[in-house]
Amino acid sequence: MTSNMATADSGIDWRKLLAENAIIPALLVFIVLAGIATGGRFLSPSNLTIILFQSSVLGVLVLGQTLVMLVAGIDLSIAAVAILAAVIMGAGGSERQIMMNFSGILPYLGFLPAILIAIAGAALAGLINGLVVVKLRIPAFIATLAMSLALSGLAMLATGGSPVHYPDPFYESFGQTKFLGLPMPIYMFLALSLGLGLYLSRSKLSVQLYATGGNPRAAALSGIPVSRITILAYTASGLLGGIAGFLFLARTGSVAPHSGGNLLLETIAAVVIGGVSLAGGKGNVLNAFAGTLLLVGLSNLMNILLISPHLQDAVSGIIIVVAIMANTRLQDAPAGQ
Amino acid sequence: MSAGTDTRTGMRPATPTSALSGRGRWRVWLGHNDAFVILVGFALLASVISPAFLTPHNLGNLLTQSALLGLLAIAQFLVVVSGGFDLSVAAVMAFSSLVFAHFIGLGFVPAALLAILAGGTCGLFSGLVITKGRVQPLIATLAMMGIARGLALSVSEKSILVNDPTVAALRGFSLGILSTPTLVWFFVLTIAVAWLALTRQALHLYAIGGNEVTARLAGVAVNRIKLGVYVASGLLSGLTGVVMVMRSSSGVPLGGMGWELDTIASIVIGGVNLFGGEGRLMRAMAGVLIYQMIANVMNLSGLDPFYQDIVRAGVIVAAVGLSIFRNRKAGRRVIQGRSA
Amino acid sequence: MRTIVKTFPGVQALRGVDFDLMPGEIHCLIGENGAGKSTLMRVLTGAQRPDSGEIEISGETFSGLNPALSQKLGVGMIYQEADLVPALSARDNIFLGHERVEAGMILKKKEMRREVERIFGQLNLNFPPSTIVRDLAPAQRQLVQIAKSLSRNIRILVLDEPTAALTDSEIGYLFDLLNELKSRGIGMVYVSHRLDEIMAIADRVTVLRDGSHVATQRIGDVTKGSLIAAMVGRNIDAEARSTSSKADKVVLSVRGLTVKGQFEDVGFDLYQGEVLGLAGLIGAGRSEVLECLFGVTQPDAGSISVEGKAVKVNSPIEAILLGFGLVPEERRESGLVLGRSVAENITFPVLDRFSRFTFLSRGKLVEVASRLVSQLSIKTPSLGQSVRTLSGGNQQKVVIGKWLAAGTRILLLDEPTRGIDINAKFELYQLVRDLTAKGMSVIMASSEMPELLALSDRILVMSEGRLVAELDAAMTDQVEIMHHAVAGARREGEAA
Repeated sequence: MTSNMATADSGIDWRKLLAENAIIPALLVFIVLAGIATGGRFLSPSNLTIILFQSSVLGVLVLGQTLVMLVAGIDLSIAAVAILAAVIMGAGGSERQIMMNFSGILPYLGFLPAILIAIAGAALAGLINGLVVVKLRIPAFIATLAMSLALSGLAMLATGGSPVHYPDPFYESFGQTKFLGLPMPIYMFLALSLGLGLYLSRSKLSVQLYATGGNPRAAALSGIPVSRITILAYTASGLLGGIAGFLFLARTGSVAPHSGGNLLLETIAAVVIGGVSLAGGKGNVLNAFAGTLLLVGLSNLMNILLISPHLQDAVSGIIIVVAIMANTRLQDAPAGQ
Repeated sequence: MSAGTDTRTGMRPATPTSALSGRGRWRVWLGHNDAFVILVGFALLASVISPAFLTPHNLGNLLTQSALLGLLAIAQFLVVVSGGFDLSVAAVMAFSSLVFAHFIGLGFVPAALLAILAGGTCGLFSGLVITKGRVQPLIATLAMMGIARGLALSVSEKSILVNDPTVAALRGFSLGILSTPTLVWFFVLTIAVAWLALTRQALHLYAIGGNEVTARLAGVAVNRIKLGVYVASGLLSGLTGVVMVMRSSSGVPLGGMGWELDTIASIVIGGVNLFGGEGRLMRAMAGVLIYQMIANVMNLSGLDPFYQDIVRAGVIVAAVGLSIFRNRKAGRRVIQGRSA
Repeated sequence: MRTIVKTFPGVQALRGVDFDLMPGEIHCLIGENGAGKSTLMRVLTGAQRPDSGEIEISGETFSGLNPALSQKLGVGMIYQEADLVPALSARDNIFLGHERVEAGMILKKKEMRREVERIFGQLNLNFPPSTIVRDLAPAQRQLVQIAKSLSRNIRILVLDEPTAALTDSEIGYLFDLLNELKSRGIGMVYVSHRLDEIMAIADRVTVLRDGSHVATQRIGDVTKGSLIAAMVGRNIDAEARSTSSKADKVVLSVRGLTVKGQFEDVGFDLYQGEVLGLAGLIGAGRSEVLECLFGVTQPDAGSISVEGKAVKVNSPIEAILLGFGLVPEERRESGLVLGRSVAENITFPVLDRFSRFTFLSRGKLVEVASRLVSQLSIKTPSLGQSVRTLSGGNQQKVVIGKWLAAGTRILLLDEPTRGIDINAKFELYQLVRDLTAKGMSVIMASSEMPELLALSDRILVMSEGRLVAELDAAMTDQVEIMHHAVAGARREGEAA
């Protein structure tokens, strides 16, 4: 998707292509190695299904984060958005849950209204992020981290701090329903990724998005509505965060206000592993998707090898750093600038 | 802040401050010391509302409550002045509190040294990634935050109670209204203020944050200073972890959640330029006290702690927004001054 | 410095230049914008390595320098834009990187204070050294830079347009200072295009033109007239002026346009099919006028009307709708998204045309782009090639192609031929002629006077943010333009 405007007349620049898509061979090599390390267990269909299932929440968050990073921003509130959305859907959509909570302020909303309010609220949070970043020119990481703080507070308020154990049974059954052997959340995740990937490959917005991230000044001087595009990216990120909240509830059948702990870091790790540039304007959905699979696959591998889940957080921190350094080197070397 | 405007009339303009009218001079002074003024105003207001506020006991409490944030804010101050950020300070503190709790069996001093060293190692890692790996400070320290938090939780998922006579003694100790955490905070603060005032490295720190290219061209060892500042931040965070154990008698893996932002917000309230190169440590500490007093007021007023998070988020955005607005005003003046 | 050669992609900035400097001498270096003065000085200060040639300083010979080595050899440079840390005091800036310390780290403040008092005394500066640089006036900053160089025991001092921000009396003062330094045996290279100053201060003067050495003469042997002739005497561009396609219809009318701190009271009419040249020295406000017309900045006063209708241009998007197109001076920073393809860059302003419900018809987009690529003969391996890899001339054509696609009627060109090679320049000239023949109107700001003369119908000369002359291009010459551009530059109290 990076430079596919027209077929190249003179030979393809393989080094550049490799530098920009290094994640794909890396993922393949990893799959082979993981298969060997686990004596094939990693590659069993049931385990691969688990990986995809576990990727569903993270993968949707990664889509939102990718959009924001393409316009040279960062959304540190995206995990909090997802959790708050899940809390609203889970608690506000279930009479039983509301009756169990004495100290929460969230009333019973009804199943469908809860979903709609949660999704709309998520998009609103994203919109506010975008407005604060663009109009008040507050650095994205401060604005979104503060948003994250506020949303976590809201999630706590909603339930009085207690976990949501009894969401509407729909969520759990949706998570368990299988079609052609795969649970529904996987289809949602794949459909969203594919949809966004295709949309970005053939929409006006995508050209504007890449231009805005690549060089905001030149983009503005070429008549691209840079502010609007940026705000839109943050709003879409919030919206995708809300959808991820839905998937979270479907996957786990419950949610606690502090469930989002590692999710944020993993999101950034996956995006960065996928070669999306923090400087903006570089990267694509396919690579970010591959980054998600690599990260979740790695964590799955560590589970199989019985490594502590907390150590896995530390590992994803290290992976972020290594991935960025590798990307910097790869992209510096061939281009020479 | 409007010092530069009326100075270009003569051939050799006199110094801006002395050329200003009394009112202008007062405004410049206020611009440089607003945090102290706000702090005193806050204290006066609080003592009017509640006579209990100005009692030695309460002031001692306020200082003790501010000590951990204050120590981390010193670390953050150094990093921000150099033009970076350290989002890992709170997680490193939590990690080193666990290292301390875990190794307390070796004795107080070895355990404390190990904990501080653990913090320093985290800082060294961040610093190397930033200087050698050319990764943005934001991402490098965000990753470090994940690493340190993960390491802390893998040492222990629950808080570890520390049963050590030295810790217990230090916990009970106080010098007048100054508790052990307060004393450590003031001690570090004194060293930091002296270092900032006296040494070449400190000057270089400001120069790098103010204009890295100029500093490099002038022969400043930019990478060495930057690496040093992240190591210092790590060591200080490690020390803060030890102090945290002295306060709560336990190592807390989830301690200090969200404090990385609190440190940034409080030093920004204290007049530190978010983009580096400017800031005075004492004023930043006034920012810490102001920030802590806001939290106190919210506590005392019985506001739900979850609402407090939302208010905090608002205070952070407002503080940063204000600082950026101020910065932009100053920046515009410089640009105007240059144009033909 | 002997036979220094420096080539940038697409341009040969220096073609074997010789330059020498004696102790206790002020050697002026002049030439038009882009003649190679700055590049030559960057080689001397080690900011750039030459491709070939050698540099000899006090008997030692080098094939290239780096900043640290250059400093060690006693070379100091004072830049146009003060190279200081704004948030630090003057004193800290002066000693930055070579502070006096004891025990390896403790600053010897007293000693530095004394030293800085001494330097300030030498320079006769009367503001406290503890003043924060940000609070200093531009002239004072320049003097702090000189103090910074003096504190380092320099032997060679390079001054690049040091008077750009100074008033007359301040310049007189600076000259006294330079003479004082001269008497102490410091050799100085003085880069400027202010001829009056050069006549007043120089011992010798060297003229560069298009990266080549033209002449080095003692100041007694030259006159202002002969210097201007040497600077502008290029013949490669001296092509016969084209026939004008200027019509009688006014397409753009500007009255009293002012942006505070940038330019004042600018007014002119632009006719259909006309090329209106905009001449002036660097910093005269030409780019700022173009940016204001394009909606980048908002005017504080004045009016703009397009084809008789008064308009307000609030943003580039509105400007584009009104038929404006800007080809900015900083092509790579402001004109192009370097990482994106040729086809995308050409079609940014007109994406709406190829999209329905936000879905883009890549086919139509590629069709338009490929038509423009062949119309402008842009040399690119493919439409999907990222513009980063194109040569300067082809990049510039992509920027212009963008405006052709958008149906621009008033093209604003800002230094359109900067950094592109001769052949590409001629192609661009022909392009401008073709476009005006089809009824497009062009405002072209340029520092290259031959191209202004060859292309323009009329030439407006700007100086210090004001229009100072309107010349008929057919009736004027480079000397007259330069005369206006320089003469307007020295009005008492206008500087800064």
